Amino acid sequence: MENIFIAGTPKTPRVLFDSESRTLSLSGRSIPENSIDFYSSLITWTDHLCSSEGVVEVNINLEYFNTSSSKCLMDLLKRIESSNVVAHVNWYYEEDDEDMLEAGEDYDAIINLPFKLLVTGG
Amino acid sequence: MSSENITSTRLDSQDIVGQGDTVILAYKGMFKNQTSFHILNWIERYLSSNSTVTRPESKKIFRVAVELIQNLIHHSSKSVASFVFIKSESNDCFTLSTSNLVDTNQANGLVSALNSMNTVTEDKLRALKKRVMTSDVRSEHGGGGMGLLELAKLSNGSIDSELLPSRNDMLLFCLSVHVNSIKT
Repeated sequence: MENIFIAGTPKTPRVLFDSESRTLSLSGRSIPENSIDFYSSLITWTDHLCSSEGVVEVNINLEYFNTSSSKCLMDLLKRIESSNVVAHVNWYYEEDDEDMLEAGEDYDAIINLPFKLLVTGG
Repeated sequence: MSSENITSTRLDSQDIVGQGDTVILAYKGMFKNQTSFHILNWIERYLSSNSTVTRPESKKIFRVAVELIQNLIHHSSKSVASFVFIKSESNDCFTLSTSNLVDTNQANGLVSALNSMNTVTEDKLRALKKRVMTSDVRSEHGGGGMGLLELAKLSNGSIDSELLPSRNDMLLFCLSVHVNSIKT
């Protein structure tokens, strides 16, 4: 299974999905006009990874994401939740960014996976 | 469109600009992906170069701008629409306004959604957003009716809207979102 590396752009996040370490990392910003176009291949990759048991780490460190992306992130996390892997999510937010903290809390409340809400330096 | 001509684009925005308000950016025209890129880039540069705007405030304004502009791209890509970014000294807030043509069905849906959001508490708004997040309802571009909810949440419900008569049975939907100053 090949890793995915996508460099960040002003509208799309930096993506590093590593099948060896079983780590999924998104950082930067996710504000594409059509998030399904961007996330569909990532969700397919995640399905493949989660078809084999093991530990999966998810790191989400987004400065901005639009509502369209929030639905795609929900899809991605729900795929992991419904699989047989042992997963945990690290949700990063800047200390004074209440909106991003609340977003992490909302995902934590909805998704039945262990969440860590972690402050970044900003 | 280049980022340089955004500010020089004339917009008939007198109605939404109060005394003492400053129009920081105004654009009237078609909204495409490239338009969005230039406007958001311009706003971000303005916010980062303005030392009186705190980072939490700046991020909130940018988030509002993203949702508003992407709404225009998704719902008004074939007709002229407008976007105005205003600093209101008197109310100590920034206002981001859009106007675009909608048909009667769209108008009824928008008014109903906005009315229901204006009467709920912040906690209920958050609960409503969580419910929409988990629903399977989606638009073709990936959203799912969350844009207005997000705008209401980001502005603590400080949203004004108006429907004005236009041509060919269409209505002009005017939406203003106010982001209050955030001190750190």
